Amino acid sequence: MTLPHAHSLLADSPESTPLNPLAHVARRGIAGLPDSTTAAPVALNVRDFSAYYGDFQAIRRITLEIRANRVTALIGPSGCGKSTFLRWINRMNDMVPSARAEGTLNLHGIDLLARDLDVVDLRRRVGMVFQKPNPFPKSIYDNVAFGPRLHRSFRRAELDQLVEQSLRHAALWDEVKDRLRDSALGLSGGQQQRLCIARAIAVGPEMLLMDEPCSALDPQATLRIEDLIRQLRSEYTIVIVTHNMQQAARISDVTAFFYEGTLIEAGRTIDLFTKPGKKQTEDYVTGRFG
Amino acid sequence: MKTLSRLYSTLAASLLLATLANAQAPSSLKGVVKVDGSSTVYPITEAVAEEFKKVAPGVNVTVGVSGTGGGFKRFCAGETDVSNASRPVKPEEMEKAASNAVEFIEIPVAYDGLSIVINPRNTWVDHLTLDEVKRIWTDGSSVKTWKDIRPEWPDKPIRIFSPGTDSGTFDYFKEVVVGTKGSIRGDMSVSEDDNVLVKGVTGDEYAIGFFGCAYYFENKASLRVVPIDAGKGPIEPNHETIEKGTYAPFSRPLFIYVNKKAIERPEIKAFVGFYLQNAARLSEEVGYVKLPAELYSRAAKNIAARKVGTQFTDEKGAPRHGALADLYK
Amino acid sequence: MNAAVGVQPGRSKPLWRRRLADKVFVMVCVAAAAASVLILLLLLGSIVRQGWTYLTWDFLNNFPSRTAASAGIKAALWGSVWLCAVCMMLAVPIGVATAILLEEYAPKSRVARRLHSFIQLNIRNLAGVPSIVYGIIGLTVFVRCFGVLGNPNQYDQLVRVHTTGGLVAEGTLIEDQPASVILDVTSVQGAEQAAGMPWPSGLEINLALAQGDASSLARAAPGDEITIGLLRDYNLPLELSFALVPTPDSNATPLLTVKGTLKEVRAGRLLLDRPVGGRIEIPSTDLLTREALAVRAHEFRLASGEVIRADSIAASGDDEITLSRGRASARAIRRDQIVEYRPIGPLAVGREDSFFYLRIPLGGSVLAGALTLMLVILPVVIISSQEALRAVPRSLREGAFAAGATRWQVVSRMVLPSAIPGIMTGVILAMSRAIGEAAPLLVVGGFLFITFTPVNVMSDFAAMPLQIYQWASRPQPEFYSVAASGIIVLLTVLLAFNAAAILIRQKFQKHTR
Repeated sequence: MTLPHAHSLLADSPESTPLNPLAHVARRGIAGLPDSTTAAPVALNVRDFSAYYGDFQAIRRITLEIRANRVTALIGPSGCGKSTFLRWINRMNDMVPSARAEGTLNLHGIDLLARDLDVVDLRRRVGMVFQKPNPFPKSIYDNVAFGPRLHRSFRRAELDQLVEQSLRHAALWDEVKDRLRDSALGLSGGQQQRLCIARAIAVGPEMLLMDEPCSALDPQATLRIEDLIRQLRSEYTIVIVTHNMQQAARISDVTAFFYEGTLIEAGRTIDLFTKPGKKQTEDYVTGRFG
Repeated sequence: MKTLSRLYSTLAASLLLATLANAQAPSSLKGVVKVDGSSTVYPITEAVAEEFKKVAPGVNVTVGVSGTGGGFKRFCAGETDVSNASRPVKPEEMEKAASNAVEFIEIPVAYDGLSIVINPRNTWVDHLTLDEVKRIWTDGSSVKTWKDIRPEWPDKPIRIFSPGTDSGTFDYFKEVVVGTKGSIRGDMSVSEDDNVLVKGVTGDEYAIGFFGCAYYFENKASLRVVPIDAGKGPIEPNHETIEKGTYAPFSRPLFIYVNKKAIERPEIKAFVGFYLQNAARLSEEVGYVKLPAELYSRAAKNIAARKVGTQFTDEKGAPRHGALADLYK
Repeated sequence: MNAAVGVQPGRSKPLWRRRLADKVFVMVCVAAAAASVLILLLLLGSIVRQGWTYLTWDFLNNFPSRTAASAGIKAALWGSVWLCAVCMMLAVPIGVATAILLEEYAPKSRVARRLHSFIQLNIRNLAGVPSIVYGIIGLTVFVRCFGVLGNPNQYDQLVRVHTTGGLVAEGTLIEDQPASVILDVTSVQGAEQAAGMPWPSGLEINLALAQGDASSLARAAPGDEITIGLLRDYNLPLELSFALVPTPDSNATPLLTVKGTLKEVRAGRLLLDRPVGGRIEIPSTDLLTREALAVRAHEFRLASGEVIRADSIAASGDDEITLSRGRASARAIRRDQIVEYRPIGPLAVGREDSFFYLRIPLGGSVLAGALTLMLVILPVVIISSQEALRAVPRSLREGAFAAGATRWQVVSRMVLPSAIPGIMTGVILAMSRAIGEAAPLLVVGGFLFITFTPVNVMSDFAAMPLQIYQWASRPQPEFYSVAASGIIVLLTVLLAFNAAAILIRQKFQKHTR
């Protein structure tokens, strides 16, 4: 894993953030990127995937391809199944006794629904960031080192380096480098969430799942996270659940619209927002319901 | 320096000989003496153990307070060497001992008098007859006021204090007053702690209560003891009347029971011997009444003869009753 | 009231009334709190006032006594400390492990879920069972081991069986210097002390001395030097007391005590005129013996004049023995070469009583008492640990799982450290209960009069609640004060336990705020 330099990551933070939600999409379009949105290899292949909680069917036979090194946004009203879908990708739903699923969920040829799947290894490859920042009640350093320490033993200097890289990668290093031994709970909400991202990437995943990562943050902190997500996209496949359509438009390459457990429509973000193919999608993105 | 032509004894054996010979000196004794049982007898055994420690520092005497019944349970299972008891062993306990092949020697060590006491401001009572005591305490008693006992006494409600029904004191009182099968009235103020009873009687002019003499002796100033007339005129409990057995029937013997097998161990033999030697002095010191000297020497003879069993049942197993001096012959 | 806002339905509640209710509630709470604190202070005050006089260093350092002035709480104090410490070491891991199993490893199958809730329900029920019931269980299971493994008292008798075998030498003795103890006599207490004892005349003296008999001992005066035969007890106190106690079967009398200061202990020596021709039996110790053989080393002089010191001797043939010292050098010598044998430095008695010394059945030992107390407090520990585990936010567990932690890693690195403050609170409560328990210990066989403190988990013990109760129920009023002193000590120990738990709690809470 090669890491970009933090300085370059930080270079286009807030002031360069476009005010127009769709500006970067448009800009990217100008830069000739749109074609690569669909041209990228498939990271996660979803075929006829259904998920249940007991007798309740939360997701109804969805089929979707999630592209590598792209940001895929899952949008839709509450209870539409987008979070459930996200939590199946790293099998967090194993913790819910009544949850089960059928169909195909295939990550680089690995069947994610297999009974004998090593979920511990899966979760190392697929990191997750939660709705509410959940730093551990430990020091900042130990938060980041938590994941790596689970899987391997490190020499002191190696771990120091890994923590620094992860924090730089999450655009947090400069803010916390002098107080790595302080409690993570003393950080602001936005910093906490970036710490959670650092924690997730410290184990070297290929995919990051984000479940409404900004919903508990103020606008300023939200912008910083969004910036970060855009930076991370070059290295990770990112799937983000969001209620905020501007956010989806600002940061994602692909958007999938869920409604009552069904995938209504998925496609390039710019297309979905500017010329939705379905009436339901149009109603939702234009704020008519949801 | 002496010379022997041939030395057959081994060196180690000669060491051992010295060991065995010296084992009789308490200072060189080592070992454990386990005692458990009655909390009434506990203070005497504690005092004896305390003194014994001074002459035999190598012997660890431990004394527990599981109660007479609890003590016998362990004793009859062979778990303890000596059992304190505030009553003679019961037939069922003897059976249990027999089934575990435990034989024991019964040793009376002191008397505990039961005192019936009233408040010092109570001027009307000079004594009670045994019959009156029975009338007061029998279950369903019609005695509600002092007047119900003797018509010339005040028409004031009588308040009765009694030790807890689990205590040996209560058991003994009950047996004397209503026999083993009868029952004592229930409307009494009951406490497991005799000191509470002392306070109760001290604070109420119309109170009457009973408990161990030790508590009366310690609180003579604030209590008045009731002489009891059991047919030979009113007799007050004191060291003399209890020791001589004239304060009948409210004085009971206290015992220790010694495992016959255990007494062959030198430290136990020494402890029991020491106990008998000092029981008279030490039992008085902790508030009980010593036995007549003759009883101690009879007990000593019983030990020497390894006379097992209790004196409270005859050869056929039927219970024997009577004064201690008559039973120990 | 303003008519403009009268559009809202319902009658308005006057603000002053709501404020008044608020104030009244606060006042009631303050009054309740003050009352309980006041009662506690009164209680403490009266106990301290009563117990202060006997609360001396001696009180902490003395064993029980029939006189209030010299009665002490040492045995009970250390007994309770041992009990609680062992109990905590047992109850906390078992309780927390059970709580983790119930909370973190909730089963998925239906049958297992039923069993899970059945166990859960029963743990709650067990918390309400009177402690004496646990005492009875403890007596049957721990003290007696259902009676199938023998009598717990058997060991005390076995301790007596010590050295078997010996060294047999044949030859003509040239010099026989018995091992001896030399004493500076400081006092001789004679028969007058025993006057009035109900013993008939005719003393049977059982004190056998290698040199000097009982009569010479009886004649001893302060300043005399007495030599007595080698004592078995090499663990000699500086003051020896020889009492001539008549055995119960003798018709004996007086008590005779000779006291003195230990001056010298000499090992014996045996010098033979010719080589040892007989057998040498190897000293051996019974496995169950708690006293090791007193002889530490053996010295042999050979016909050649050579002197060999050996730690151990083994027979290596009919005419040969092997002497070894340490591990390295073992050497076989012929018996007929030995002209002199000397045991060296037999002055230490080795004891196997390490703190982990164990035997079964447990008898009325610290371990049996602690296990019984463990039964009493285990439900409390489990339930409070479960509460503490439940209080750990779900988000922390999810975060740890999402980082790829296994279930055990989540528990050990995330959940448990976060739950420790809560668990400690439960443990404090449980220990407070354990230290005050008397009933189960009475059943299990806690002792009261005991003149030693526990040395290992197999030791007999006394406990503070038992001791305090016994003091409080004695007829002599001085003993109430002694009981009050005991209560002060008990409360102090309790506070010390609590303080320790609070310290641990704070250490773990450092990073959570």
